[in-house]
Amino acid sequence: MNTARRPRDRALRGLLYWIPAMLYVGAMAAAGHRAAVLDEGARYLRHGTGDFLWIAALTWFMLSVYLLFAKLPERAHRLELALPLSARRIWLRRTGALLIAQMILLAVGAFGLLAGNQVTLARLAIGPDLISLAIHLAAGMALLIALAQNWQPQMAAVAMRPGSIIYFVIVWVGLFALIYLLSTRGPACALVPAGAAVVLFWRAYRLLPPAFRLVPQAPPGPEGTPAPTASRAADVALPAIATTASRAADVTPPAIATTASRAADVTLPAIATAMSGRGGSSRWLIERTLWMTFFRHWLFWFMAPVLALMGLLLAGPPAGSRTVTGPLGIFITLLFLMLIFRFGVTRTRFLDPLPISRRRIFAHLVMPPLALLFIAMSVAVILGSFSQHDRIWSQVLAVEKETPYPNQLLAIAWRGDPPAVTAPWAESHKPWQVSVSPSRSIVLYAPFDAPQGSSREFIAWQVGRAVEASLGREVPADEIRSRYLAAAPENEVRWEQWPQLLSDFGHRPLVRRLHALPLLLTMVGAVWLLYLALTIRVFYTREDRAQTLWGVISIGVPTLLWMLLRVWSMATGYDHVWRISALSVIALRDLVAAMPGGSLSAWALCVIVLSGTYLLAQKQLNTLQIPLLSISERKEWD
Amino acid sequence: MKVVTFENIHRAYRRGVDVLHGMEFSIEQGEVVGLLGRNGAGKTTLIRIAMGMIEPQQGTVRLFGLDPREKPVEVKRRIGYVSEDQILPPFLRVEETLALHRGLFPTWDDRLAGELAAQFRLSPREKIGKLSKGQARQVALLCAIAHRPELLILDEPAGGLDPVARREFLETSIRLLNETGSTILFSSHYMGDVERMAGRVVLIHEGHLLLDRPLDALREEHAVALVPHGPRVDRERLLALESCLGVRDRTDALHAVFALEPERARSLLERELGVAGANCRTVGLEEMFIELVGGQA
Repeated sequence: MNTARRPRDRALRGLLYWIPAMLYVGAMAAAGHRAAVLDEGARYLRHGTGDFLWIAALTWFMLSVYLLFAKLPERAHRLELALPLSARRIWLRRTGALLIAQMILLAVGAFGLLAGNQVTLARLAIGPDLISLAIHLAAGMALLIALAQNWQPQMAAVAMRPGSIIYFVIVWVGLFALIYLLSTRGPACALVPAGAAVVLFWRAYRLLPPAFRLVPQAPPGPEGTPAPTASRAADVALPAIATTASRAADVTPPAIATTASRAADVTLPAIATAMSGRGGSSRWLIERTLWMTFFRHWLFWFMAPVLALMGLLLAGPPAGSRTVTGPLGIFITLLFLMLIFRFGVTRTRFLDPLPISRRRIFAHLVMPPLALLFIAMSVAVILGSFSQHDRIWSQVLAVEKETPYPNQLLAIAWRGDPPAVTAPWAESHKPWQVSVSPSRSIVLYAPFDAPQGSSREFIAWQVGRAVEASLGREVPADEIRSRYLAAAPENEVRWEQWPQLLSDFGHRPLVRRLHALPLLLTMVGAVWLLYLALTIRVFYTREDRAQTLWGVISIGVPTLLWMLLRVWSMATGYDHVWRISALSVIALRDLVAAMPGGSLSAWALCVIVLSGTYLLAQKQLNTLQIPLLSISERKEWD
Repeated sequence: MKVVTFENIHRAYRRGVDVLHGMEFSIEQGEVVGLLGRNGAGKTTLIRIAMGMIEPQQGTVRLFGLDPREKPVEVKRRIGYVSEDQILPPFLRVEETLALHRGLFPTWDDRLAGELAAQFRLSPREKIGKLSKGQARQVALLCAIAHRPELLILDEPAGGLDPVARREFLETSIRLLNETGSTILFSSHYMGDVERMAGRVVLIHEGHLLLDRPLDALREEHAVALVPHGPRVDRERLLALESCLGVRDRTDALHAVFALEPERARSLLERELGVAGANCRTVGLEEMFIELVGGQA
């Protein structure tokens, strides 16, 4: 095997970028692990060292994304097909590169996790569960690659058709579930997927043809089956040879003369008639063409679910996952919106020769991802209002003290001195609080908190206030006390019928939660559109150096700052990043409440700001000059 | 009436590296102009500027008196465009592609489209992505001319096509020219195609306009002289002569291109440099192109 050619494989070339990324992901996983343990305590620590589902899912996801970028479905590059190399040799090199790259990345991720844990002040024990998980992930990835190699092993590349996509998605999800389950049973169980991988690799190797095929050998079938390239080429080449002699002399009308020999079964008038006025509604076709131009690509369908997920998390985060809300969540969302736009705009070149206005193109480029995000955020608000209200009451009543307060029930003390909560009968308690800044100048506190030692009356009074604040419904404290609270032995208060309370009063939180939605939508949408306007202006109209500079400034600097913030917070022990996120969300909510006209004004503001920024970005698109294709980019739409 | 006007067009993709440098010419209605130049000469950039896809950093371009950047839709509706790297949507069927264009071009002629589809033997239900390169280019040409454009812009339209497909392509374009009097601007490396189609030739070299002549004048009033190396003859002296457009230094002789008929070029050489009986002759477009472009410093 020619070792000089090995580094050329894209699986290994990509490591240059992926190794630092995996190192960072590993370190952040350590930070997240620690934050989760601190935030959720015993609830998180199920197996003694923690619940590693999210670490496993994150690693699996990262490795899978890497495989996609390393073009897992491609077994041989066209250049390799033209070289005197056997299919087995190419396959061994390619598969070996994929496996090595995966193992390197997994090792780097594990190293990042351990290093992150060392940097973190409150070091946590990395127990055997994590080691077992790493071994299982390695075996699982090997099995995934092996399964991919067994799909159409005769082909130079697996054709990504609906059937193969469904197959890979099922395999991907199923394998992850299997790996995660097996990982809880010890490292020895990894022999099962590892053994299966070896068998499948051997099978794929045995099935390899002497030379890979570019298209299936089978003749063209019904709709959707690819026509062999050879027959396509012959379609033109063979008649050309046959007719050239007869054509050379006559010039008018040569085309008809030559084509007569091509397909005698189709008469000319029949084709002419068939073409006239056919093909469906032009307007619909224009819309369809625009849509498919921008979004008919696996990359979009990979990014779209992430964007939807970010929308869900931004507007309705689970109470235990606060770190995804606020600035970080918005930044990640903007990044994905930008990636989708960046991908779409390069495909504008296909439409450039057509008389389609930039306004129309812009709408098709921008509206679908924005709509997807907005829908996800709205759905999160609606679903969140039903799924989270139980947490509201459990917090008020301190039923599950180890779970964190949802943002919805927190308030900000801007001067760092939250007031004590005092009932009308003068019973007073200091509410639960947490500082946002190290100097305690800004503090988050829970105004509806009923701490240990509160009387039944105080708890009932707080629940009544919480119901009124979050559901907008006034319920007498006496009613709450008599219907839902009961005195337990040893003078403790037990929350006996809180599920009943939920069904009694839990129907209106949607209205309350919707209040913050317009500003959240505006914040994400307007910031993105402004960023888009700037990017189009700088990125696509200037020279290479300015483009690079802008890329570094707009994406690189915030990313670097964020990474530095995380490293600093890990090193200093200040890893409650969720507090900053919660601060922004609560401040937003308070801003809406303080606006004259309330949510109506907020919605009006939302529409005005979004429209303004939309028009601004659209104007910039008019100046856009689609970059010329470099030779390496001259591929077809897919 | 001027259909296309380029005035002092400058364009660079990188600072200090001009792709086009002061390009200036115009095209009258009904003219067929062949745009020639080596790879990287700036032909495609110029065509894209005409299409409004790229903005010149200096100078103005007008199509039908309109700025293609200001009025892109109005201008493109009057243009048919085919380029080598232009790819039609592969997910559409042929009939859908035609319907798409029908919706975009108000002057779409269904009869002509059907006729051309029949001529090209295009299957209406076939997807563009499954067509051969030649067939796909035929669909592109069909889409470009079935709305009877006032201006047809072809950027290396026949690149990669076999001779039969290329010939069909050209003849269809010529037919359109004859039927509707359309103006055609096309770039090509096939000199035979240019000779067959063009009435005028514009030669670009390294972003500069090197030559802009009617094809007939280029054939009859330009000569290539093979001047033997000698003590009184060198490249600089030849270039200093009036009407000398370029000199290519070859081992056998210096190949000089003159904007003169062969007889007059021979006289000039004898008179100015004392070179008697130089071999001066008219040449075909391809040879003229090689001598002219190769003769630039």
